[in-house]
Amino acid sequence: MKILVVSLLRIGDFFQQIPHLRALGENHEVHVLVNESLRPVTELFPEFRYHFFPRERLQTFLTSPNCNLLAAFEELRGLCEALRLESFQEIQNWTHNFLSTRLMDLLQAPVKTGAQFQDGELVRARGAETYLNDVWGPSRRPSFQWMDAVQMAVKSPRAGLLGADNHRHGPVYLQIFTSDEKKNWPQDRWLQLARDIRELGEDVRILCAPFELEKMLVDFYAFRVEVLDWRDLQQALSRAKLVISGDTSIVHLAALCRAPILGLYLGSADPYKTAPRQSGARVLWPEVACAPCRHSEMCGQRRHLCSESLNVQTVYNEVVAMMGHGTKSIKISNVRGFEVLPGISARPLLAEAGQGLEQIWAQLVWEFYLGRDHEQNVAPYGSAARLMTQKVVSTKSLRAWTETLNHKLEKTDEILEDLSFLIWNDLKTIGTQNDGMASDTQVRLLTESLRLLWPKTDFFHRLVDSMQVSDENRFLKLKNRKEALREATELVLIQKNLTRRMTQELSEREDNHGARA
Amino acid sequence: MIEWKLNDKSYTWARREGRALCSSRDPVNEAVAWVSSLGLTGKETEIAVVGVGTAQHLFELRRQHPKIRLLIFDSHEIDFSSAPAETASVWDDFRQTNVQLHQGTEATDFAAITLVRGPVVLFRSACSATDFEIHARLLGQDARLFAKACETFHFPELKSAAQAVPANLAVNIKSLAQGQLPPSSTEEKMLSVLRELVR
Repeated sequence: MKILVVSLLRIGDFFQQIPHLRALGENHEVHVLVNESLRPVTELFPEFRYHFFPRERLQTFLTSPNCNLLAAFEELRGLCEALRLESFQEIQNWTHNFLSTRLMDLLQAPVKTGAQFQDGELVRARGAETYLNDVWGPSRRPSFQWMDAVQMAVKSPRAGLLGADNHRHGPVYLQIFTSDEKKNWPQDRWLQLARDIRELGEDVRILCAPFELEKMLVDFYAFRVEVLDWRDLQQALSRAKLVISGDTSIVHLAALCRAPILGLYLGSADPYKTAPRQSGARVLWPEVACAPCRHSEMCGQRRHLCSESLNVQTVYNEVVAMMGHGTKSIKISNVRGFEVLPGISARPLLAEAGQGLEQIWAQLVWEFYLGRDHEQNVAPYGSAARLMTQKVVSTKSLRAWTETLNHKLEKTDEILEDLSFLIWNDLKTIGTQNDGMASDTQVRLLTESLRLLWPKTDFFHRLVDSMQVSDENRFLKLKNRKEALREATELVLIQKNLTRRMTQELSEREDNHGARA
Repeated sequence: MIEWKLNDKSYTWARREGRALCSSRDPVNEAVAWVSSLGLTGKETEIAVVGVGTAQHLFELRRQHPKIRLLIFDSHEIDFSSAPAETASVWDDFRQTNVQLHQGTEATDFAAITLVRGPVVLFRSACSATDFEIHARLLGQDARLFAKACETFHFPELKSAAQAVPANLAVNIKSLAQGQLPPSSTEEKMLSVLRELVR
């Protein structure tokens, strides 16, 4: 099948999409619509065919008082015509912004997936698309990275997590600057770090853009400063022993090149959203109240608190541990250290030490929740997922917890079956001589045992409530009971599925661990 | 009729009906400054220039941006026959480059139908009412048609500004009025896409 992927994001985002594009390309002919500014980068991945969106030129036509608006129309018309002639069978929106959703409306294909307008109306988002909207706020902690959520939204093939080659003997590369002042770590700290790493006997090299070279040579004259084009950079990263960088496109390219990565995430950089897609990659994230700040705004503090919190010693300790020169000696309290681990379905998972299981459970619940095509109100299921996640957080042994949960679920199943029997019997007696709700006492007993079985959760509160309401209209009362019972049965089913999946996941991990050992 | 002059620093300059077509003191420096003031990024493929004058500014533009396509408009007939031999020779060479020239009455008509895929700029020699009309036509800015465009494309917030077309919004409304761009569904969708780029 011939598929067009709309990817109108920045270079780093495009790099993060590459594993997903490759997964899609295994069975389909993949074309990618990218911003014109990404043209040099696309040459690194010749396996896809590209179409370029002339964003800057269109903006010039539209905003310059010296330009004709119709030129923008003509330019866009030309692009649409070129894409129409390609006769794509499917178009997938991997961008999820207003521009791309409008563009989805304009482009023609029999199947269109992802956020989109249809004849000027925004198509109602469901599942993962809603998740992208709701969980991507500045203070939220999504369980999935951007591209994994997009992949779920457009239902494209899943990409595996990349690994790092930890047996290299190449240089250690430092990328000093990011695209945004507030994401930068002070230059003098970089310099100190470079000196410290060199004392370990490592070949330290500095990466920079051509326009940064002059500034860089002032401090780093004693180091080899490299200004590389994308092709050379790809080759350099493919032999790097370690790459240390802020949240830049370099870390995402390094992940593709299997270079071990240490990310220093400052300012608006949020590891929960843009951590490198590589198993074993480390990220340091200062724990200050204002972090992460908003992407489009300047740092609002008098001092750059996040960069001040991250001292050279903390970074150095992490470097030493990663390169096998020793172990981490000090736990610095105001900096959080994350590791990217393989999560559910080989999706990347960001975890602090000892928190992996909690994150895995959260991913599992969300994957199940987002993968369903909900026809009805999803609130009770979401609430169940949230409560179960909270429960896991307070439990030390996940395996023991899943076993207890299984046992409780079996008991619940039995109670629900008895309730179902009673309600159906009552329904059958409507209009007969026995029409007197003879089973009320039994129903109350059963719901009470449900409450005892689940003392701290409110999974079945609707069921319990409906059993206790004394409605004059008997038929309405039974109808409510039946509906609440259906919902309760569904909840039990969800929990059973999740528990089974979790047990399976734990076994697989134990097997893998055994095999590695 | 253009009068060609030589100043005390041996720079060639000219005037028409008493009005200088370029700087009488240093036309070369003026041309360099003018090209710099355009703020071209080097990515432009096309540029429309209204006003030929002594063409020093065009030579400089070509020198700095050899690949750019120049669409040149002047409301007067361009005549370099009386120009100094050196200037006339450079002009002849310049015309062989990627240039499209529209002059005299034809220029006004062409301006109405030409779509410029890049900036539209004026030089000082373009000072007549006709030159300004050519410039306006190339940009398509006209208050009445702008109001109509606002109606067509549902720009209620801009309609009140129709008497003074916003300087930062160049709208080709002549084409809308002439029916070249019917407000079909596709065009409306294209407009929606373009509006997202200037949000």
